Amino acid sequence: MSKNLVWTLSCNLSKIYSENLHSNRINHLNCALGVSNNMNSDSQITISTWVNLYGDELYSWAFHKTKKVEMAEDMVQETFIKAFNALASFQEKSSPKTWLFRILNNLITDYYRKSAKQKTSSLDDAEELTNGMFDSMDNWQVNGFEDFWTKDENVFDDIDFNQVFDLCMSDLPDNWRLAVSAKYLLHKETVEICQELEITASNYWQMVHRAKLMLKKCLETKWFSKV
Amino acid sequence: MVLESMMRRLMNLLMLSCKQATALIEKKKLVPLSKPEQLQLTVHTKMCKACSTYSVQSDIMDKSLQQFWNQKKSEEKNSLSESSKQKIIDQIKKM
Repeated sequence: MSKNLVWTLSCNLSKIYSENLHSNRINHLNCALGVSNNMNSDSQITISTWVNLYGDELYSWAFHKTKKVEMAEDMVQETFIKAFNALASFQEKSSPKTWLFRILNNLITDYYRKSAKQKTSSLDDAEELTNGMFDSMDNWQVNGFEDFWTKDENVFDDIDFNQVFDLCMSDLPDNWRLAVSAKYLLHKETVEICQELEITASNYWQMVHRAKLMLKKCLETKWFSKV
Repeated sequence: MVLESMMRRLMNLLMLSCKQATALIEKKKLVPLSKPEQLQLTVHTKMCKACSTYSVQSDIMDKSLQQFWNQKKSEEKNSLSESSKQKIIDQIKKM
């Protein structure tokens, strides 16, 4: 069977598929492009079809897990590249979707692990900053804004407060931000979070402690000292 | 002054410093504390206003964090743009 015939067949198949998914436009485009570029590998055709069939779902999951558009897009691309390179080992035992999600989930786990271990340049500064909140005996250096916290119960509805909170979150070193967010991103208990991030429990709560000290300091400087 | 500083040293020895106490406040939310830790923390927060305030602040920060991530979730974009898909396909074609 000639390569071109394979291509045409596969194109038609994916058109039938995608018509059900209401997104056939791009598939037509791929087929046109594919033919004109003489795209002649079965693997490339398979992967291209999968990009259109499963790309959205994979992206949506990656974004849900990272909350970063670029990171999620990169991960989806990486997923398909890995799938392309490993296509020979793909056995039809599982569905392509399951297989692709397995690859993506491994990438997400790697990303979490890397972030949890990452020593960013700002980490030393951040440690110094949080140490500076205590005196030589490790007791509080009072700054006078402590009582302002409880004065405004509706603070969470305040758009300005939420913007300041956003800002304070982005000030955190990456691994501290991940530590303090893991509960909300992974929706898991401490033990599982530590397994997923490959850190010890004490490592985990120590990072959370530091992150919250830094958040406290940031909120007091940027918000509570001003209201 | 001297007495106060001596008292603080004694307090640190018997109980905890504020830094240790706040660490335990956070630890408690994630893993169970040991009996001595529980006792030390209770005694410390009973006597230290700044740390009992921190405990409230910590809860406020948890609430803010929860809200922060809920908001991010509602901003979720659910599909990959056509141009991103095309970019991936082009990449695959080059391989």
